[in-house]
Amino acid sequence: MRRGNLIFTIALLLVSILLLRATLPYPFKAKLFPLIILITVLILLVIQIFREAFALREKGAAEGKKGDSFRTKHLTIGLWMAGTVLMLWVLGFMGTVILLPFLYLRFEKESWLLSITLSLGCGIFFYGLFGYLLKMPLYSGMILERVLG
Amino acid sequence: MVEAVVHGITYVFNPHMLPWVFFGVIIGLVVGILPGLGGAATLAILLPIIYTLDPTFALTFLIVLHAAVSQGGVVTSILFGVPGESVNVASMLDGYPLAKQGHAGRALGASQMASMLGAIFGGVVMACLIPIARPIILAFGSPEIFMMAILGISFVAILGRGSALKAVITGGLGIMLAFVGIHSGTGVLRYAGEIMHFWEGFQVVPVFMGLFAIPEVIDIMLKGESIAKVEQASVGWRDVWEGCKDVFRHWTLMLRCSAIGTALGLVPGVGGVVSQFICYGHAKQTSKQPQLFGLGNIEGVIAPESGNNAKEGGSLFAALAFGLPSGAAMVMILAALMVLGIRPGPEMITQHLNLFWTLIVSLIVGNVLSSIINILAARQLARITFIKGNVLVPIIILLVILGSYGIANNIYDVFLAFAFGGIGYLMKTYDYPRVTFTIGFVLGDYAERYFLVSFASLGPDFLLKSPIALVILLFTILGLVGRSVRGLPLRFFRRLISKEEEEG
Repeated sequence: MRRGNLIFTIALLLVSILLLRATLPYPFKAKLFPLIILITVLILLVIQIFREAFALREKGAAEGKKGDSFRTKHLTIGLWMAGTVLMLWVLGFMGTVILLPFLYLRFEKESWLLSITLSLGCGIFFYGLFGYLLKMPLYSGMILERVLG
Repeated sequence: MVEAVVHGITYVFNPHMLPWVFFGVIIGLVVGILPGLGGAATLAILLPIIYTLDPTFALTFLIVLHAAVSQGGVVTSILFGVPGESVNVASMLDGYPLAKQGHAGRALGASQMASMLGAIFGGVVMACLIPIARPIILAFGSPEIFMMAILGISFVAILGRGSALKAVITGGLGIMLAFVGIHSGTGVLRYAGEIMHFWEGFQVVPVFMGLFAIPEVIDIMLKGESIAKVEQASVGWRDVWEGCKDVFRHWTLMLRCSAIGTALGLVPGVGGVVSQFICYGHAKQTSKQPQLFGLGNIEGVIAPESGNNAKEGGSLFAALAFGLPSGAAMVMILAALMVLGIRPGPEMITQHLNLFWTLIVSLIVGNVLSSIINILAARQLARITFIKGNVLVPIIILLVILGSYGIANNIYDVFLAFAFGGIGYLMKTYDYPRVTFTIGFVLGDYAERYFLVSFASLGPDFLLKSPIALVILLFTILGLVGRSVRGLPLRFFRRLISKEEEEG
């Protein structure tokens, strides 16, 4: 955890440095506020990195190891999130509304009845309210967009 | 004036009007509960429909609907950690942890009672302030709004749990996020590069959805449990009633935040997103248990909700009497007035006093009615937190998708929400407070814009030219110094004890 903390803080420092580099060429009025904020943040991040590095040196060895199951769970969740975004991009709004609950519930070994009922319920509710009643232009997905031109 | 008040009350409680008031409240609650539907967007959808209606009828309907939206929004904020509306984020910070502890009923009860009393306070105070409201509103120029933003930003040092250093860092990074897009002062494109979607800056809702809702979904997925993590379900009336009583236990906080909300409502451009955080910050600053904020302190629910709903009284007054909208929803109300052929301005008080009072009464009635409906439904709503986690995960993800997409009907906002979900999860894991990040994000643009306007119009010493801005500056300094000084005696005695122990 402590090592992760330090890495995250260093990542924030790198992002802040990149932002500072992007800020410098702007005209005075446009860079005044960002410069004040960024310089303050950079100083505080350096202090934070020193604090975390010292803490890591003092107590680093005492840190417990995370189990394999913890990593696998995180990886699975990451894949689910990425898969949801991909599904939305490819299949569009309605495809995701129906497919996501079904796939997730089946993945979690819920019953077929619950998986199908919830998926169809979500589909009917979301389409009925947003598509049919409110006429919201629901994103149709990459495949349908290609097919329809 | 008394005649006009009586006219307003009799009009709203007229048997022909009452069913429509009730209908407007129900629509408002549904709009608020569903994250994809914004209050302002719904008012915009209804504008073409009201064109043919009687002006008083149409405006009453719109006002009660608007009043109910934020009351509905707090339901999803507390139950799922997904803000129904952007004005309900602060209530989520303590409402959701309470739901996790099995006290969703209590949080809902407190939020609804605080909202109801806040709305009544805002409406009544505004009614009493009619004679002196004009100088108050006109006294707020760019230096005062700039200092209000700075006061809000100063709360980042107070609001973060744990390390104050991390709180200030994330507050600063939040401010930087507000700078993405075309700079309003110079027209320079900042930090957006070639990505056209970023040119107008980031929308509040996808960022908030990602930062707060996605990490909670990940949490439920990791543990596979229901939101409420207690064995025994406490979703009885007693829990809801306990929440209602909490508001009376903290009645001074409710009154103070209602007063803050009402005053902020009068300031043009300061919407509910800003005022909720100022009230939340004030609550933490004055609480006897500030360390419990963010972990499920009921004061953290009462403060933003009472302030948020009291603000509506001030906002409506400023919009009707001076044509100054405080946010998108009030812009729509003004548009409705114009569609119906009524010009907002001082004539509202001189020529349309009956209509003016009918709308003030509608606002109060709309809030009271939505609170009563929500309190009655709170017991059933709270049961949702005990539903199996596996079932809730896809539903919450769909709400996040819908909420992010519905704000501008843009699929990139959904991708953005997921990206901020990842950032939010890392921030949560490594104890970087997300609330200070959101405060910086909301107030950063205000601070910069009003600083540049003040500087250009009044010169570099603009603060010295405004007594109100100086008073707000004094409050800001006192607040910051107060935090450091309050901890000093404790630290001094701790050091003394540890020294004695070492010597002993």
